[in-house]
Amino acid sequence: MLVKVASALNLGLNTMEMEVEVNVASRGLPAFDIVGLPTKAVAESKERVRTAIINSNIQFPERRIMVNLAPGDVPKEGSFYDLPIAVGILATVMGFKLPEKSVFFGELSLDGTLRHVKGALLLALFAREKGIKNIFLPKASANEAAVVKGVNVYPVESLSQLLFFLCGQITFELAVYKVNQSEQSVSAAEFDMSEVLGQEQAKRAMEIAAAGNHNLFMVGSPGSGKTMLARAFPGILPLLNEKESLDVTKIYSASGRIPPRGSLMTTRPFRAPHHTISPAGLIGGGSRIKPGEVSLAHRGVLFLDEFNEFPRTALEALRQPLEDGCISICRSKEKITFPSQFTLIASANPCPCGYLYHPKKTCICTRREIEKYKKRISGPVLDRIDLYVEVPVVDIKVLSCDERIKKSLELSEKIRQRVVKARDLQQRRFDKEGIYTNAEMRNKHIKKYCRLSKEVNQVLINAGANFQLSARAYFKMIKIARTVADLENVQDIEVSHIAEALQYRPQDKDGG
Amino acid sequence: MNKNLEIGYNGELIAAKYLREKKYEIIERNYRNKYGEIDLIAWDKKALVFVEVRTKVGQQFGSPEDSINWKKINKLKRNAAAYTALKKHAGVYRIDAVCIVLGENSSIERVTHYQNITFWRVG
Repeated sequence: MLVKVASALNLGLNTMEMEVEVNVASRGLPAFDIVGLPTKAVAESKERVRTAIINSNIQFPERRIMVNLAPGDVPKEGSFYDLPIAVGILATVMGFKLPEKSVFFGELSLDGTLRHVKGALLLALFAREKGIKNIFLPKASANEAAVVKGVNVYPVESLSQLLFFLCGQITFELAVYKVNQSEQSVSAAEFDMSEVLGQEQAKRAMEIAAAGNHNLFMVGSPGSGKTMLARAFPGILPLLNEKESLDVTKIYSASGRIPPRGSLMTTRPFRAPHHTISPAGLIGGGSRIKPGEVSLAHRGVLFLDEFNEFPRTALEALRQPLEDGCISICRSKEKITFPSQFTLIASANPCPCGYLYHPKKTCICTRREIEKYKKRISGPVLDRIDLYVEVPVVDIKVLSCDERIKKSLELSEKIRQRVVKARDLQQRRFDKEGIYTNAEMRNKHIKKYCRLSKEVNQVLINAGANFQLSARAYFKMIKIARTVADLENVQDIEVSHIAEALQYRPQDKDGG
Repeated sequence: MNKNLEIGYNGELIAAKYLREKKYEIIERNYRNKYGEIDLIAWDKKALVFVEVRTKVGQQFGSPEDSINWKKINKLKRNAAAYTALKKHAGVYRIDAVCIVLGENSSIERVTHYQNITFWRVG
């Protein structure tokens, strides 16, 4: 007897329809085989399904069982097919009818309960798109799927519970989306901006970076506070808006980073990979393509501490995501595109010993060493960074200053309010453009939204000649000026805005 | 008769008696073909059952269950397939094992019947 159970297959951030065909033969030696390119985790589902059925006090049929995961030419990965396989087997044996327009998705535990799976949100979005009415999911994963309206999410606790339901003996309470409180209260920032003493220029640059989603490069001697500033950065970022939150949660759901009973992510991700990261880890990849750090930092922050120490291949690979806000990964077997619209915060020392330009210590590096160090980051990558800021050494006297000065430092929350205002302004402006922030503006947007008066234009042209601005850098200046103007809530870009933007160009102290 | 053969033969007698008590209808004993030997073949209602009998005196040299390896199971599968083809049996069939442990003076310490050993994961 043949039963077909609908399920789905996640490939990157896309979902495909999949059918689990279960045939229980009435002749032959008892066997249990799965075909349809199962990878190891899927092939092992045989043992889980069999044990789970037995432990649910149901006799496992001593028949020849053949399971086909269709389409047969796409490799099946993961442990989500336990539930559709088990349901298929039991449907043939017990003869119950499966509800129409329903998909099953879930991993079985040996005792017959269901375990949290990755990708539940993707499945729900897919179901809505395809007009599938019911989805049966493990209870632990049901919450993230319940976000999607118009789809009935059945939170399944155990196999036997599901069977009672399918046989019409009990009813189910549909999952209702609940915001997970504990997740909301997690504050993303380790430090408050007010804990960082001095560094006013760097803080201002961070405010601009946060407001316009601009990339930021900090250079400074060891111990001057670069890392601390970066770690305080999430504290001045606005929360994700609804659409962004869904996009970010999709990526995290697909890579299995949403905890059981988790809800939508509301705080912006902050990713700080170590510099020993491989290109595939940063960009995404692997034999089964997984999102890398750039995608996990989507709509959030990617902090690369000790920027010069990263492998060159990894840094160069940042070019496409920095420019396009997405990354296409092509391998022999598949091609997957992940979004990667992040704010890059990079920090580095000015030279290998770290004390170049230090007011008191002497740098012991040779000129050649310094050149070599600087060359580790190529021009194209540097050109894609909007804001450069020096983080000078803080005088010890400032650190031990009295409490009055410390109290006068601005709290992250206050800076955040200004950032939120500026972002709201941008969001309203770009409402119909499909972008959110100034940094995402294309040239046509710049033409439309950044009208420059004659005076302002003249300043830019002069600066372009002085700083040897590339075409990209020229537009970046306008974008930064736009953000500065937004922070002041000014309609048109003024000379002072451009002037401030120009301050964040890399300064060559050696004069050439 | 060699001592081990004798133990095995006694075991098969015990197994046959045990299965008959369970309402199995035994149709062949020590069925032999070029694939090897099947100790017992019986009907369990509508299912044709191929039975491997393993007998041990004491368990100090391993249990009878341990002595069934994947090679033996594969042999049984092939042999059973050949038998069903020969007899044109078009229904359900399976492979069982009866494991017997004897005491010092041929007393029976235990008889265990395992239905459907095809899924055994053995070394």
